Amino acid sequence: MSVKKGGIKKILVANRGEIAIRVIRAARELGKKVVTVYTPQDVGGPWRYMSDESYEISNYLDIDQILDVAKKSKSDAIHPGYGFLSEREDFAKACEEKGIKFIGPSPESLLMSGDKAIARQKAKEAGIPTVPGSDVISSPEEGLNTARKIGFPVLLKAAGGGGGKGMRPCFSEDEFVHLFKQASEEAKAAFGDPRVYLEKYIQNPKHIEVQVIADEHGKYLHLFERDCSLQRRNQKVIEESPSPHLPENVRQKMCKAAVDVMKKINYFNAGTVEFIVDRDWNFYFIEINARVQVEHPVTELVTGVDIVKRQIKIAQGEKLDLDQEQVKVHGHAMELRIYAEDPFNDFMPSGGLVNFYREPSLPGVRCDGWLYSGISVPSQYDPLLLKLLAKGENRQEVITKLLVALEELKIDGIKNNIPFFKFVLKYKDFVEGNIDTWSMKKILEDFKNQVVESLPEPLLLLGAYLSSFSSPQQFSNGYTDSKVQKVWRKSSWKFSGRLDVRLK
Amino acid sequence: MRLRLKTKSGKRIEGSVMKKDEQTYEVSYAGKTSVFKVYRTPFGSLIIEDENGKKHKLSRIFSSKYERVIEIDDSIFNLEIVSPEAMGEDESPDVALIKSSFSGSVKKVYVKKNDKVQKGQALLDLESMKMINTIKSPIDGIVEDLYISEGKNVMSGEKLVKIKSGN
Repeated sequence: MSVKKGGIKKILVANRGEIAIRVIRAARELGKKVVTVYTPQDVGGPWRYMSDESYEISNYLDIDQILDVAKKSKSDAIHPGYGFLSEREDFAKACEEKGIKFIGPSPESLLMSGDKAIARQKAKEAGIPTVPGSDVISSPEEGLNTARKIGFPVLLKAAGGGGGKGMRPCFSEDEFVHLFKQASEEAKAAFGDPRVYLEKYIQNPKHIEVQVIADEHGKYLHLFERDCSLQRRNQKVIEESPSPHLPENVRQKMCKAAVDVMKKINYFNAGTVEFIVDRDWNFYFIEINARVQVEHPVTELVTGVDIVKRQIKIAQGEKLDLDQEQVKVHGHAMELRIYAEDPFNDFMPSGGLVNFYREPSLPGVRCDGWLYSGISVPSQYDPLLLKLLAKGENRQEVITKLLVALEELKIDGIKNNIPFFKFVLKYKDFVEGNIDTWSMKKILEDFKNQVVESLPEPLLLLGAYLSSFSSPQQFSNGYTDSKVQKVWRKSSWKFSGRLDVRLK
Repeated sequence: MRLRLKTKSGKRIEGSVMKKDEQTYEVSYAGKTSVFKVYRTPFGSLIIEDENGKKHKLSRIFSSKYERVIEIDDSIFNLEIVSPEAMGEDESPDVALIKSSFSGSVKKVYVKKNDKVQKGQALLDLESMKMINTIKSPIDGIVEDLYISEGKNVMSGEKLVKIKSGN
């Protein structure tokens, strides 16, 4: 469908957390009205107050409720963010049927990119090598047979979405059935779709992806690559651009391949083509991420192209006023995904109350987050708290900047992986840019075996005492927990002083 | 205030902390008393000055009934708060007391009281932020106590299952 003359007026953001805020900011820069949604668990979500209107819904995956909000608020476009409904063809179609512009690719493209078998077929047609794999597996028995054919190790992957959810590497036959069930359950919880498929597990690969943007008039651009090789359980941890040591001729080939496969599925708006790259710089197509990605700011920092604003402009029918030769990579950028995960306990995620929060600020540093002092991080959703990014003239400068920024960043109240980043950013293999998707195992071992200088016991006793919640003394910021909570719940003060509407 | 702590490596630290005034704290440990000065900063951390005038930065990462995670200077300390009645509870060599190492909810329980279990057998599934984690028995034995049931929310450090060793 096409948008009326004058462009999009009001955008409904069908998401939460940092990406909801990112979209709000882009939309406001373009002078659009913004509508947000929140669930009862997200009653403290700051995006509510940063938008013109906000409505309570029970579930971010509920298409009917979201379309109902769009109708009530007279929104003429929906931005789905990432995760949740972002790659659901049925959602894009339902939007279209209601006359609401879906800010993303067409339902047809979503169908092709979302069906991993079709996506792989299209890649092959475009002359791009793919990793040996299977179609969607319907039973653990069928999966086991297929896994035997492909040969262990295999990777179980969710058919309904990416981001490491519902993904499990499997090294032997005896663990297959258990892992299959786990992957399927996790996929269902994350995407509302329990289907999984198999892929050959390539050893020591790098994960490199190419950002593509395309308008609805057939113009395609790539915004170069991002290296997302540092992963834990197939969840990206650090992303950067450019990819360290990537030979220039391989970079050019990959970028061209990405554009070629997107053309094959008539893709428009922003999307990413993911590759794995072996030790000899052979690259294989893995999948298309038909959405804005968590790590998109890395590309924004090095190319200066605002991807989310471009998404909105493309959706309202504008032509890309940018040529491939104008897209250049300046310097280096890196992103740290700060998660509510305990690095000292196998990175188990957990929510909780943030007593105190402070963001760093120094030249070249960007924070895409959603925390504030007094927010309660619900345990129902993804543990991503903040994306800490830095841009510099070169990789070493970026690493140093991030270390300085981490000294300023404070998240008091929930366990988080900041201590792990302080370790990784000084880790030899990482500093030298020699990371593949399997490097994490060794890094984690070394992280665990760090020798902590012993401190005098009295200092530990005092530290434990002073950090006690039950201590009548506030820790440092002048608010006890209950005070902060009360202030936020009762206050009529809002970020932008706007109306907050509750849906019946 | 009396404090009993256990470090990640299993070391126990017992002592007491007394607040003398807004800035002065007395810590007694192993028969010796030391005095510290504490200064608040607007940056979410505290400065602790010891008797020799040496300053340390203290940041709090996490705090609950069961544990404290604090950063002193550049080192992180995971400290378990040991309650007096729990002293020695998990010390016995033939008993495995399994505690949750994170906050979440109990999704499934596979065993009941007095069940025989084998080392590595799944006891329960905990869910947190859409991640499902299977808790397995560390030893062969019998389920002596179950402190949880399906649907219960548990905090990090909370007791889950007690297994008594034996066949």
